[in-house]
Amino acid sequence: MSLRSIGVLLLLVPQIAQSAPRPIYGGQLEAYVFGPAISLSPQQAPRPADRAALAALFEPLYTLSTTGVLTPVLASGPPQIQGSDLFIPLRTSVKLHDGRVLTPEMVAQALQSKLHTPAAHVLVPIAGFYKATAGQGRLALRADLQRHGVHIELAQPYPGYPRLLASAHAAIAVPSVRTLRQVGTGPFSLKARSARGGVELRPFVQHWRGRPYLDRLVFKMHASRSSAATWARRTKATLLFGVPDARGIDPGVLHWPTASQAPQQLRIIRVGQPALHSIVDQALRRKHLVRKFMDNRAKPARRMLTGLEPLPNETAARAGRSMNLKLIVSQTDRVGWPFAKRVQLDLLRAGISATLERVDGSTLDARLKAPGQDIVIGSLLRDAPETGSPEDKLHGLLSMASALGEAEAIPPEELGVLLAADAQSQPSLLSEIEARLRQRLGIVVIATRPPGLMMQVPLLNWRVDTRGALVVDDARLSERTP
Amino acid sequence: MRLPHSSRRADARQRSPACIFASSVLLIGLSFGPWAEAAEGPANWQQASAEVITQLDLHNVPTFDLQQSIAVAVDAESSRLVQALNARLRGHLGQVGMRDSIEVGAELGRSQAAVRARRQGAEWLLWVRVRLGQDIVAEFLSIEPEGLWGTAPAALKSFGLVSLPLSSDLPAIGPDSRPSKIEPAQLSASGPALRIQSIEGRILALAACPNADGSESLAILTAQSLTIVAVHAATAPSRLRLDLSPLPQASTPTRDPIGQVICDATSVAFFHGQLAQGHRVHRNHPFEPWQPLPGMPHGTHSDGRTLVSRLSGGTNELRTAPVWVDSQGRESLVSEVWPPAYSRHWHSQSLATSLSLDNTYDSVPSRRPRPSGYGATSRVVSGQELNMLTATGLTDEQDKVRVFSGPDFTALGPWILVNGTVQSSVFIQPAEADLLVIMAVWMPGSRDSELQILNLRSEP
Repeated sequence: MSLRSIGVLLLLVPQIAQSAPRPIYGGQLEAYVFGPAISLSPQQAPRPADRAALAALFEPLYTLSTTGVLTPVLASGPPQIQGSDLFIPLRTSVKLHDGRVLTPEMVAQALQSKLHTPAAHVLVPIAGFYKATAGQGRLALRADLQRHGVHIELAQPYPGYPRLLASAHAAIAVPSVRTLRQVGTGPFSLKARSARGGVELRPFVQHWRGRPYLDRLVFKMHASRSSAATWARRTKATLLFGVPDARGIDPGVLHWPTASQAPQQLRIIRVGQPALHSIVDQALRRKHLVRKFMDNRAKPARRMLTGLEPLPNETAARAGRSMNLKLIVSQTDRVGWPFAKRVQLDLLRAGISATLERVDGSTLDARLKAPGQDIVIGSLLRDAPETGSPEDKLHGLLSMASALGEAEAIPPEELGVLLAADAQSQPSLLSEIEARLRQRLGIVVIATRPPGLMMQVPLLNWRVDTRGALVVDDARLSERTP
Repeated sequence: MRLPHSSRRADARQRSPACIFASSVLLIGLSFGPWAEAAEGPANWQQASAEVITQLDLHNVPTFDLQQSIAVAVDAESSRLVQALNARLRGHLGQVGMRDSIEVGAELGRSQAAVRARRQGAEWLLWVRVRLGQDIVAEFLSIEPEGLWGTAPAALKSFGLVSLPLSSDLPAIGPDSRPSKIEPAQLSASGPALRIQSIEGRILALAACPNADGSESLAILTAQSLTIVAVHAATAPSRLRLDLSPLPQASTPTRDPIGQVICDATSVAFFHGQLAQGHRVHRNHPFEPWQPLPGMPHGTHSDGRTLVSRLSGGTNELRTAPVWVDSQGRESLVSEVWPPAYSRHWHSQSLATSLSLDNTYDSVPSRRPRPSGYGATSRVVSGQELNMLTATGLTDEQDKVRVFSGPDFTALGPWILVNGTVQSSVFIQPAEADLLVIMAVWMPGSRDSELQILNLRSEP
């Protein structure tokens, strides 16, 4: 064919539609993380950096939109609820990262596998949960091959349950056939894991919505808190998780969306000895701690649920006790050593003598779950959106109990009363449940604060979702304008 | 009442350009169904509203009293349409003597509208429903009193039901009524872009398809369907729709919506990034896939071969060499034929900057570049090239468009703001004196699209 015939062709070609500008594929996002190694299991998503990585690797059945509306992800539609029966239809032809197609059995198995993990709270309302936790029965959860979905029987009718399936810990992870790891269906797949616990992710081209725009997503681990602070100050980092509370950092570069429904971090102390719980609770001078050691986005609090006003601080109880306890704090803690020393002083004024001990992040996680006789300073990130709805508040409580290894801490009878109550009495019941839960788990809440997140790249379309995960599925560095 | 054909023609010849514009807009709207909101100004909804009130014949409704209060509830997809219809209906109610009419929301259904009406003291409810492709349905209902405790749902009793085919009484201009030859230099864009239809999901591409009788149809491609609608009212309103969901899906789908549709008098070829391959379908029945295409179609030669290119690994980039596909499905590489400079250009370009065949051809050195991207379109009219360019707003929510004529790019009228992002557009010619630009517009904050229309009017 000659150019002339091409010219003829041009006259004959019918009118051709034109196209809008397109996002550019390519580019990378480097996230710096200060703290323990990035979790690669959706059963463990304690920090925002973990949640960001897990949200890229794994997907839940549902998610919540920015306005809090339940939106299907791996589910093909809304849940079908009849009394305490729940059926979740699944998408067909969704590919896992190892090439297999996701089946209803895999989804049922993935949910079952959360039973004895910090993700167990997503199973609490299911019939048989408490017995299964004690090893005496099975969860009422099964795959329905004919209808291509998962059938769940709840302990009692609870229409709000599907919102729990939208939490960060509810993501579906399936054991890989090739490695010992778990694989998911997320928009990124795992490329490499560094010796220091960082991860490198690459786009998953067979993702059911299409590959993401970025070519590379890297989570690099910071060696120390001071280096993270330095990076933040010198504004060299592109994306930084766990920005320290150190003064001198411009709050304007902290981008955790406080106005959204993304969960806030809870600064807590876990008291191992039940007898000391109320004494520690009374002893802490929260306002002073927050004002002196945390930045202006932190707020003193005494309760686990937001939406409840913090009580005024009170005079520390002078019980005159003197015990040889350990006050355990993380080396990688954002708030740091001076904060712990101030807590130690407050405790001493209340008659509790405690020796400070610094441990690494993993040890702290373990001690937070099993404090023994000691007192542990740590933080919790709720796994429920910050809304005023009783359902989300309950899910927040369940997630915090589960994160401390005690998903069954809210007894079935208390849960039953709450779920059966009318809307007007639920808030007061929730307050009672929370008070008992704090007592049971020995939790003392100091403050709430948005997690430290700093973004310094011109990234488009990123967001922090209701799970507290930085979502970059649709993120891109720029758009092409013709 | 439909006019006799000869009368319609004579009537059309006597119309002013403004009238022709209004009618042309109506024609397209009619072919799409009664959603033609172009008539928010013109007489379309006005006539329909009057007809509803006339046919309900309120004066003969037993127990009805003009001194009573009536609530008007319009159930329609567009809030602008709700407002427009409501105002007109209440206006006509006033003309028949109703003094007290109120507007109530209809978004929660007829029962809730009745509850709202009762709370506001209305004794009667005029319920009007407008749905895509359906007749207008109007029902006149009496609302029972609330009762002592006010807890019972509003009991309704129907006193009249009207089903009104909106298209029945409207005039039409056929292709035989074109008054004179169009001169692009005399065209001017006038007025804002008007919405003519809402489409569920994103419109990925539009194309103007020539019909055998010289008229044109519009091909609309979304991720879910391919639709061909008649543009000319003189031809019988027709609508062909192909559901794309049963077609094989791509193993590496494209995340952002991307698609292409081309057509000629006998067939339509299409592709979008969620499909495993492109398809060609016959325009006559059966309207179903006939020939698979290995990718995105760009043009069809007179000998039946189609220029096709492939997407690269789930992205929106065309990195594979385009190929020709003939009716037997054979392929041959274009690079065997085209200049190397062109091939290099093709390989390096993303879809965003260079999608259409004529654009890529023109980018060969020594040829003048032509507009592309962002819903731009071009067409040769009376031997002269006409181009529409789109400029993006800062917020990505509002584009502006402008039409240029001739090789020196003479602007026809000012920049015109469009509510939304212009994804694709085509020029069509319902009558020689007028030229219309139909645009597929993505609405801000929504997954849905609108078809909007711009009129280019011929200045005498």
